[in-house]
Amino acid sequence: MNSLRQVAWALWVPLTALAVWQVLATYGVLNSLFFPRPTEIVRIGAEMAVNGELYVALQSTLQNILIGYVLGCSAGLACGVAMGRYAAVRRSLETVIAALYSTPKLSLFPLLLLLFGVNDVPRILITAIACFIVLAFHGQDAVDAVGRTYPEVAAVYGATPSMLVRKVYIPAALPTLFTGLRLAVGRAMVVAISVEMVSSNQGLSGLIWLSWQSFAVEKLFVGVAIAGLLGAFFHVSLRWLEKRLIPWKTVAAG
Amino acid sequence: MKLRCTNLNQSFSGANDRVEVLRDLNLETREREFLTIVGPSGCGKTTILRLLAGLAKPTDGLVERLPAAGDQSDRVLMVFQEDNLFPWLNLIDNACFGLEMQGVSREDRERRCRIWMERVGLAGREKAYPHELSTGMKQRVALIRAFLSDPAVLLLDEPFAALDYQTRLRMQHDLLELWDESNRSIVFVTHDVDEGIFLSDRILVLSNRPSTVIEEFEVRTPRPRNAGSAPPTETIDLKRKILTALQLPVGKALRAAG
Ligand SMILES: Nc1ncnc2c1ncn2[C@@H]1O[C@H](COP(=O)(O)OP(=O)(O)O)[C@@H](O)[C@H]1O
Ligand SMILES: [Mg+2]
Repeated sequence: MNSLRQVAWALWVPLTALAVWQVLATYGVLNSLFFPRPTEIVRIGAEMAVNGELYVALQSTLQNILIGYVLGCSAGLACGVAMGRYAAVRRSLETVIAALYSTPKLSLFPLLLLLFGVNDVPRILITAIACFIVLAFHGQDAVDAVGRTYPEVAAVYGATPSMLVRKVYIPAALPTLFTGLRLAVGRAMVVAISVEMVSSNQGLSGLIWLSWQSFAVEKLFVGVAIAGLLGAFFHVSLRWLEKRLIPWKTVAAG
Repeated sequence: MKLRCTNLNQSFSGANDRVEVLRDLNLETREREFLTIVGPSGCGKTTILRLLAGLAKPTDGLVERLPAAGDQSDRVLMVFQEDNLFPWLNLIDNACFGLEMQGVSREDRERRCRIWMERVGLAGREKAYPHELSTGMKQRVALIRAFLSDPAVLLLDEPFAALDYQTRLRMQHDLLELWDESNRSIVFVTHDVDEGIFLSDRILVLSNRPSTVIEEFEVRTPRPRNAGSAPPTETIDLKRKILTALQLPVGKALRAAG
């Protein structure tokens, strides 16, 4: 009941926009050469799904995003935790991480292409680097967010080190950690899809780019829509996971 | 169990200076005693409790635990000024945290906990998270958690400072009841002189930084004490003496009474 309402709130804006678009395209207000009817786009999309074209494109993009995300986030988290725990590590890396945080990661891509050649390795690496920086930054924040009192309370009650980690450090750090994980998804998608555009004719970008060159406008829209859906999918999955893992934060928000 | 501090010195190094917080502080708790420490804000009351709890080491001096024969518990527990409850645990899990650390089974600890929750009016809220509760309720849960673990000495750091007057009175009453049944010693820190007189057997007054115990008072008011009863002249006299020790202005009414 409640979740049905949530879905309705999330969908009414895009659905209304699509309906208006459909009407305008049908009555020729929108040039269907550039803005084909949404139903037509869906039909082409279904066709591509059936003949496997969509699957091939998605598979290559998803692979880069997921591998890059998992690698980058794990390494970044390790680095962030080390920075949070050890003053020496923090002093050594803090400025570098802060500088890299706002540097466009794409500017490193040509260098990676030189080092590794034109294949998936630099594409995955650049995605991983983007995630690494975000998690290093927010991982450190997450350690800071634990504070002093909670571990002390647990220590007073005789918590062993492993209990301390499981019962205090992890739950206390989780909310901040999730901020990082969510930000990293966005960055990973942007970077992975961008580098595909400049260095390959595969994946979602390949699909979009080739459709443009052959003026297959419907396919172009299919590609864009899939990219959007992918973003929404990641967002919803992380939210779901967050609700499961951090019930004490989400209970109040309903 | 008794706690004894001998010639405690504590200083902290700040950005460009050293703050001397405690200088040659001596104190000893007694068995089954309600001891209150009052002192000006920032004089080092929290610091003393942290040293007693073993959460910090003094710059110099000795903190000892002197177990009595037949002590079942050697735990020294502390209830902090704030952030006592873990936001990620619901009330009952928070209240049972100490028992869980001791390895008591879930069934057993929840059974023991529910009795206390009912007594302080928290029945039915067991599954609520701390952010859904008032400050008073949270402090009650923190107290229950401490008493459930049956500490030999319980350290309380201004536990009622953030509460409104009425809630504070109720909590003082609840605390005395809990303490009465447990028969443990309590070291209670407050800046509220009335609270100290109402609750304790003995009151230590601290000086400004670098602080040390400047005066010690016995409170002889018989128990059980009642918040409603008019303060006997002895109590008023005690209050006047403590305020004087704290170098606070003593009001006309108190002067007249003394
Ligand atoms: N870990 C610490 N590092 C540096 N200074 C501290 C630390 N703990 C306490 N202090 C300082 O010691 C003094 C006494 O603090 P505290 O014991 O909290 O006072 P009180 O509880 O009586 O208000 C304060 O000036 C405080 O800034
Ligand atoms: Mg304090």
